[in-house]
This record gives sequence, C-alpha cells and structure tokens, in this order.
Amino acid sequence: MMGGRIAVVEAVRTPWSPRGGGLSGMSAAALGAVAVRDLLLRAAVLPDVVDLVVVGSARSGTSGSLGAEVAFRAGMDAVAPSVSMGDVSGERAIAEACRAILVGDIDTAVAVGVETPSDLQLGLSAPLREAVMGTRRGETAGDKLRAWAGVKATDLRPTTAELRDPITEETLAAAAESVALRFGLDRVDQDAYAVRSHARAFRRAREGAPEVVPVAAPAGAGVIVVERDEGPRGEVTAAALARRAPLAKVGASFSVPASIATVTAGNLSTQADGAAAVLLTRPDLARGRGWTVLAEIDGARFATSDPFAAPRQGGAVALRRLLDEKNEPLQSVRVAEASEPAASFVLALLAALPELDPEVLNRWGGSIALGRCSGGSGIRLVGTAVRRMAAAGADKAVVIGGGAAGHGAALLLRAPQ
Amino acid sequence: MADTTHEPLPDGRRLAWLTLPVDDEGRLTQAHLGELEHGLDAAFGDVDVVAVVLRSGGRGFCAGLDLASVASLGDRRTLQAWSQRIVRLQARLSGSKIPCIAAIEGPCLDVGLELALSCSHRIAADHPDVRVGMPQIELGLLPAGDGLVRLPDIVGFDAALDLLLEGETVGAAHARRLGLVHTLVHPEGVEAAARAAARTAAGGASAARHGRGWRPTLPGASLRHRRAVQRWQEGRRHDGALGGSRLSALELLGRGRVEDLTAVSTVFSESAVSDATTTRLHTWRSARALERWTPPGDVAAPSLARLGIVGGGVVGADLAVAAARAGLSVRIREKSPSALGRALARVEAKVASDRDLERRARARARLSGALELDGFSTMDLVLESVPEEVAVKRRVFAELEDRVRSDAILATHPRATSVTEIGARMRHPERLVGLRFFRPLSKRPLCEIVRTPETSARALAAAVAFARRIDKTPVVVRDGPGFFTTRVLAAYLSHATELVADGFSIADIDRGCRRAGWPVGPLQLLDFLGLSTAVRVGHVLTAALGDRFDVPGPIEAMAATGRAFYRPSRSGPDKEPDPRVHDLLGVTASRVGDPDELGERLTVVAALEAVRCLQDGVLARPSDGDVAAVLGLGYPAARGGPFRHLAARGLASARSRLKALEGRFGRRYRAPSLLVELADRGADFNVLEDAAS
Repeated sequence: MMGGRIAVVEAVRTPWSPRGGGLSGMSAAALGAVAVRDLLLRAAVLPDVVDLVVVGSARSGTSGSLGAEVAFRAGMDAVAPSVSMGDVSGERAIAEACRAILVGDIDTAVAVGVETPSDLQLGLSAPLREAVMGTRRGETAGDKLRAWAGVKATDLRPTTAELRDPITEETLAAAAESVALRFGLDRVDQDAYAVRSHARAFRRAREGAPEVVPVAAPAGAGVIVVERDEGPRGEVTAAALARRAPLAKVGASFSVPASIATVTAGNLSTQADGAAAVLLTRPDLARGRGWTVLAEIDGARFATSDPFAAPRQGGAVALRRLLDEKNEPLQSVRVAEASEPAASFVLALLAALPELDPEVLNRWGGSIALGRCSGGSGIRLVGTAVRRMAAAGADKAVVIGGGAAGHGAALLLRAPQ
Repeated sequence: MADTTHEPLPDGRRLAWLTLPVDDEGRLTQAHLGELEHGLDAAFGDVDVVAVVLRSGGRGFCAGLDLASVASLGDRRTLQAWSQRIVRLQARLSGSKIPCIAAIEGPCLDVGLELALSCSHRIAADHPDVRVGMPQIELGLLPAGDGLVRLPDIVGFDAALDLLLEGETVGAAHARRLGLVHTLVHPEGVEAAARAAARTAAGGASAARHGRGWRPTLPGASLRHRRAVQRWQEGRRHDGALGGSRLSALELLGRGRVEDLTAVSTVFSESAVSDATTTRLHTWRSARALERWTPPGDVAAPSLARLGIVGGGVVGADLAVAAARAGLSVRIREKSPSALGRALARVEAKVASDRDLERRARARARLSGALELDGFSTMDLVLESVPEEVAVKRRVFAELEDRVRSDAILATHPRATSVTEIGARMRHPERLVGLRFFRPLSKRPLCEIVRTPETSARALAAAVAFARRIDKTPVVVRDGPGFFTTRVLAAYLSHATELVADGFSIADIDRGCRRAGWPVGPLQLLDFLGLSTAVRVGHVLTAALGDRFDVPGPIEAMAATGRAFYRPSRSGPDKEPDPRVHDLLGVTASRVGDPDELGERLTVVAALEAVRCLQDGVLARPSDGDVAAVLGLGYPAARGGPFRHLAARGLASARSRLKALEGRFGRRYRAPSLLVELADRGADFNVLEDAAS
C-alpha cells in the first residue's frame, strides 16, 4: 500500500460461534449484513454515505456475489465486490478498501469478513458425479441407465470437502504437527498456550466486549439472540488438555508416530461462524464530518511463504517487510494481534519474531478459544487491536494474518493523530 | 381517457388496444362509462379489427366504481340507468364476434371484475398488486353489472358466494385456480401475452373458456344451489352480519340463472340507496377526507426514512413490518434477548408470509433488532411501545432524548395514560405525539393521533405523514386520559361486565353485540385484551373522569384470579362461555335479556361516551369520532359511528329514548349536556362539523 493513512471509524463483529452453535442457522450473506448494518448504526452513519463494500470470505457464499448479497441485505446500494484469499481474505478486503480510498476513487468504504462453516457445502462422490454427467450426455434410455452401472450405495452419500491445504494437501492437524516438529515445539508449551487463550478470551467475553454486536439468528421455528462468543471456556486447564489424545491421523506427505505427536484437539482451533466489519475513510474527511477515529491504518503487506519449505511463515515474512519499510523496530510494538489456528503456529511465529514480546500478542484471547473463522479473522484482529490500543494507550499495533497455501498478511495501525 | 390504439398486424388487419378510462385511483366514473362506450364503438365498428384488448393506462385494471359519484347520485332511477348501461356494455363485450381480452395488471375489483368477466379471455400479471374480487359488498353495495349472474357461471356456486357475499378478494394465482383468469404471466409479459392470445383467438382457435359448469338445467343442480344458499344463510345469520344487500343478493342467486337482467339493476340501485349503504358511504367519505387532510400551518412533514421502535411487543413488531413494507428502515430495540428473539420471530413470520419475493427481500433488508439504542441518532421517528407504566415510559423517553437528533420526532403508544403525563419530564415535550394503533393491525385501518397542548405542528405533521405512509387513516384527537378510543371502549366494556354481574348471560350479551354489528362481543374482546388490563385502564380513567369506567368489584376479584369469560369447549375447537363465572360472582344467570336489546344498550353506552369526548374537546368534530369508532374499534359500520347512530332519528328522539333508558337502567344512559343542548336547539351534530373546520 502506498503512503497515506486510512482512518478506522468503527469496528464491530458478531459473536464467534463454533460450527453447529447458535449462529449455524445464518447464511454468510445474512451474517455479513448484520455486521455491516450494526457497524453503520454504531457509527451513526447512513448507508448511502458508503461508496464501497468489500466482502472477504475464504469459501462461504456460493453465488460468487457475496458482496452484493451482503450490501443489499444491509440496505445499501454501494458497489460491493467480494475478495477471496484463503485465511487472509479479511485482511485482503481491508487492503482493497484502503487502496480504493488512497487512489481517490472513493471516500468511504466498509470492509467485511465473513465465514459460515456451519453452512456445509455438500458435494457428490466421484462415481455419482460420473453417473449424473453420463445421464445427461446419454442419448438413449439405455445409455442413461448404463451410466449408473458402477454406482454403489455408499457412493450416494454426499461428500464434505475436508479442509486441507490446497497445495500441501495437509490437514490443519498435520500442518500444525509439521510446524511443531520443524520448530521443536513440545506438547506442554502448546497446551499452556491454549489454556491461556481460553482464559483470556473467556475473561473478555464475560466482561462484555463492546465490539461484539448481538445477532438474532433463526433457530428452529423461532429466533434466538446470540450475544457473546460461544467458544471460550473458563474451566480449561493444562491437566485436562494433557489428557487429550494426539490427532495422529497424519497428512498425505509425511507421517508422525503417536509417540512424538503433540497436536491435539485441545491446542488446535475449531471452525467458527462469524462476521466482522470496519468502517474506513480518509482521516481529513472523518474529521470534517465529526466522526471519531479509533485508529489509522498506516500500511498493509502481503507475503507468500513456500508452503512446503517454510509452512505458515507468511505472516512473519509480511510483518518483517512492513516494519522494515516503515522503519519501526519490532521491540517497540506493544499491541499485536495474530490469527491462531493452532498453538504451534503461534509459538512458531514467536520463534520467527524473537524481538516481539510474547505478552503483547493476543492479550484478549484468540482463535483457539474463539474458533477459527477464516474470512472474518483479519477484520476481527483489526477491531480487537484498535480497542486494545486505546485500552493500553499504545501508539501503534500490528496485525498478523496467515494460513494455508502460504498466505501471509500484516497491517500496521497507529493511534489517531 | 379511453384511448384506443389500433395496432396493424402482419396480415393487414388490426388489433385494438382499448385503455379503460379510470381516475387516479383506478375507479370508473359515470363520465368514463361514455368514453368506454365510444371506445368500443370505434373498435367494433372497424371491420379490420380482429380482436380487442382491454387494459388500463398504468399498472392496474379497474378498482371498481367511483364511490363518491355513487354517493352523490343518490337517486334510484339514475343509478338503475347507470347499471343498465354497464350491463349493456358487458353484453356487447361477451356477445361480440371478435375476441375480447382483458389484460389485468393490478386491482381488478367490482365493476372492473365484471367487465373482465365479460371478456372471452383474461390474462393477469403474476404480481401481488393483482387483487381480484367484489369487496364493495362490505359497503352494502351489490355488483353494478351482471356479476351476480355471471360469477357463479364461471367460478361455481360456492366460490361465487364467498366472493359476492364475503367480499373476499384473491390474488392472481388463486384467481387462476378459481377460473377468474385464464392465463398468468410475468408482470412484464402481460402485453405480449395479450397480443399472442388475441392473434390466436382471431386466427379461429377458440379462446379458452373454462367455467365450472354452472348448469341450472341439470337435474338436481338447483337443489344443490338451494342447499348452498341455505348453508350460507345459516352459517352467517347468528352473528348478524347478513345485511339487507346480502339477503337480496342471495335471493337473486337462489332463483338460478335469470334471463331478465333488469332485476340485477334493480337490486343494485336498491342497495345503493339503502340506509346501510349511505351510512357506510358516509363513513367512507369522512375517512377519505381525513386521509387527505393536512395539519394547519404550512409545516412540511419531516422526511421519514428511518424508524426506531422501542419495545417489541405485538404492536411494535407488527408496526415494524408495516413500516418496512412502506419503505422505512426499521430498528427494534428490546431490552432482553428472549423478548428480542420473540419480536424478531414475529417479524420474520410476517415477512415470510408475503408471497412476493421482491417485497420479502426488501422488507428483510430494512428490518433489524438490537438490545441497545445504537444508531438511534440516525432515526427520523422513534416510537415507544413498552408496557404501560408511566415510570417505564418516562425512563425510555429520558434515554431517547439523550440519544436522538434534535429534529427527530418521538411518539408514544399509550393505552390509557395521557400523553402529557408520559412526556411531563421531557426536555422537549413539543416533539412528543401519541400514536395509537389497533389490533389486529392489518384489519384496523386507523391511527389515532394524540396531540398534547405542547405538540408542535411539525410533530403532528410527521405523525399524520407516518399514518398515511403505512395506510392508516389518521384521526387527530386532543390529549386526555383514554383520549378517544380507549374512553369509548372502556365505557362499553365496563358496562358489559356490569351486565354480567347483573345476571345476564355471557352468550346473550356477546350475541347481542355481534348482532348489532360489532365484530366480536365485548366479553370475548375482554378475554382477548386481558381482563386485568381492562381493570387497570378502568382505574386510570375513573380517577380522571368519573366512575363510569370501573368494572364491578366481583369482576375485579375475578380478574385477579386470572379467570376469563370463555373456556375451551369440550365438544369442539371453539370456546364456550364459562358457566362458573356467575357462580363466582354469586349471582344466578337467570335474567333473561333480549340479546338485541342488550346489544343496542351497550352500543348506546359507547356512543354516549363519544359524545362526552366531543363535549370535552377531545374530538374536533363528530365525523372524526364516527371514523375512529368504526375503523379502530369496530363500532357497527351499519350505524355509521356513534354520532350518526344517535342522530339517526333526530336528537330530540334520541333524548327521549335516553330518558326512558335512564329511567329503567340508571344514570349510565343520562344524555350528555351537549346532546341535550343540541336537541333543545333542534340542531344536529352536523352543526359542530363546520364550526371546527
């Protein structure tokens, strides 16, 4: 991103709700619209002031026009593209919105991140797909019938896409395991990190997080109101996590014997439904309109780390690049927010960034407790960092995003001038 | 204008597009009829025209007769001649050698439907704006053309009874199922479909005609019809809804197919000049005048784009949906998550019941709920409908005044407490106005607007604009405990409970009121509203206005136990009067009352309270009270409202009748001083009509 800063006027998010929880009845478009509508109401900004709505989502919404769906449902007629960049789709949405403002195309934008893993995308098994296509192609009734010859009863079961890194074909557990081995991380440290994540997120949710807006979600015949994060649990202890069996089911590329495996369901995140949104504009415009500015975005960088050679290092690479350019030493950062799909990834990140004080990272909890919401993650991190910055009186904050396929992202935020 | 376009066809012949001449509201006046006749002359007179398509200029068809001209004609002969012209026009359409096609894109009601039924082919847009039916029977008005004869022929006898006597209107798809229309098309495809149908029919293929085969000549058929008529009569007789017009329609239908259509015109003209119809037309005209009324002073109503609702009860939720459908963005604030969930579930159920995808999608995009007042500073109007407790309501307005823009309008939905009292602690009481709506919202087209001495002209203008926006007739009343509607209703209901305590039977009281024309009996209504609520309202009003609103002590004790007047029936799904009520009250239900007399007495009690409202200055003029009572409370429409009811036979006669009632039943029936004074002067309520305006 070129020079110049972007004002963050408001940031809200829905509660994070692990898959199958209170938000499981919401579609991605509906959930994104709640975040946008409440964002604007919180900021007391009318929908027609917004020129652009960028919606980031890794894989939710099948129409290809998730952005337009979200904008319509939020009562807006702004241009609304959707962007997808795996686990850093949210960061990407912010970058797209900032770029459009910086080049002068528009004044005010909303960046949204949303993911609804509860809204399962079912597929057909390969033999069934063959048979359906064969029926369609077949000209005679005999052709059409023959196409079904090879289909067994078990083929009729719908398939769900198992979440694997699209390049390394590793599951999240296998990737976490491979990173743990590479960095020599042991089980005790990973479990301890997970306990801390739960304790912090639980405290934050209990105290009431102002950035979280309640969502009225359909549930059966009625409507329930989900008010707070559903993932964090207060009673999680290291002893309890230590009893968990490792997820030694390993990836395609290598195998880890159970005796040395360290990754369990306890120190890994689950998928969660959620949506988050930020209102962005030019700082001078915000001042002119009398809007309060929560923070300013000073830069966003993306990086790709080789998914085989340096798995899950994208975030660290992007952050180094960004801070080098801005001439900011990492030691001076007092507020840092990073995605934490697995404890091993965060510990690896800290190992790659030795100057970063571990205590400033994810002080209000993270994805291990809240759940992992690919598209919503980046925007949640920005919203949290902005509020932590104000609470701690810090002058800057960094947001680090990373995920499968080598994606990495970093944002630098500064206190408003 | 009935302008006719003759479209050349490839074979050199022509297709005539005849635009129905109707006014802005899609209604046909007498003058239009002549234009239509000329249009048809031109089309039929041209030998090259192979088919005629009847359509309307805008998106519509014809929404019926212009009722203002029906009311102003008043003369039976003229009306009869008018009806004969319509019948002749229909005969020309149905008897024409070339196909006539009706292209229906909007309301097709009453005379509009009759004209369409005379066409050989009917095409309707698949759009929720298309409504088909004969609702004018609700005004006591029979079909002006030969609909009484034609309709059973097309939809079958039973469906025709529902359409003709119940005034049921149906959507496009239902109309297709009934056979009222032959073809449903996408709203954008009506013209193309009409052209295609015209060319097919003109090419010799017989136009589709599928009636339900009403063949009175078939053996046994007339017996079946007689049974249907009988069933209908029996089913409706007990509740007194069967007015004179319906009876004469039934009588005509019972004769089977009539060849002499002058009978049709006779019953129409009779119905149009009947008391029942002129009374209903009077109410209708007063309501229309109120709909067009603008508050004095050249204060423009502020723009209403965003509505905040505090309190998501039934009123709040229903209003939210109505406002969202009217294009407002609506945010409901409810304090507890469970209450918010209930409110939004109700909202979603209402929205989901809309058949039209676009309206559903747009309504959903405009509706949301929250636990906090975030964003209420963007609202143009904030309506409070939290439970009736002055302290709670005041707290809401204190909270709101800190939040909303300085030019926002605040509204309260009070039950009985005066608006002035609710707004007493406000920093800016001039922006507060009372808005009363009635349940069920979809069936009570009234918005009672309560203005306090402080209410600004701007707030009043906003309230009127809002009422109009959601299709409610605005009636402005001056503030006071119970304002107008609650006062009238409370007097009526408390007297009904007195009659129960006096030993009259629950069934008799309710039946009497239904026969008098109330939609439900007073005791049924009390069960619906909640007896304890009525007791509380009674206390509020009694403290301010005198003891005519209190329910008798034993009934109050009964309310405290949560008992109702009706209980689930042991024999069926309905409810039956609870025989233990009288035991509980310590009286025997032994008094035999004539239900009709009880109904009339209760109706008079309601009317007298309305007169006191006028006397106290709550009402600006009598017609306001008539409209508000009929539209909001369900006051018998055949009586035209309390003032018209009392003055029906002159105020002098009303005074002496009241004197007799007072002598027999006590001071509840004492004539208010205003009535006595007017009667002494030999005047009518009408003299107060002009004085106010």
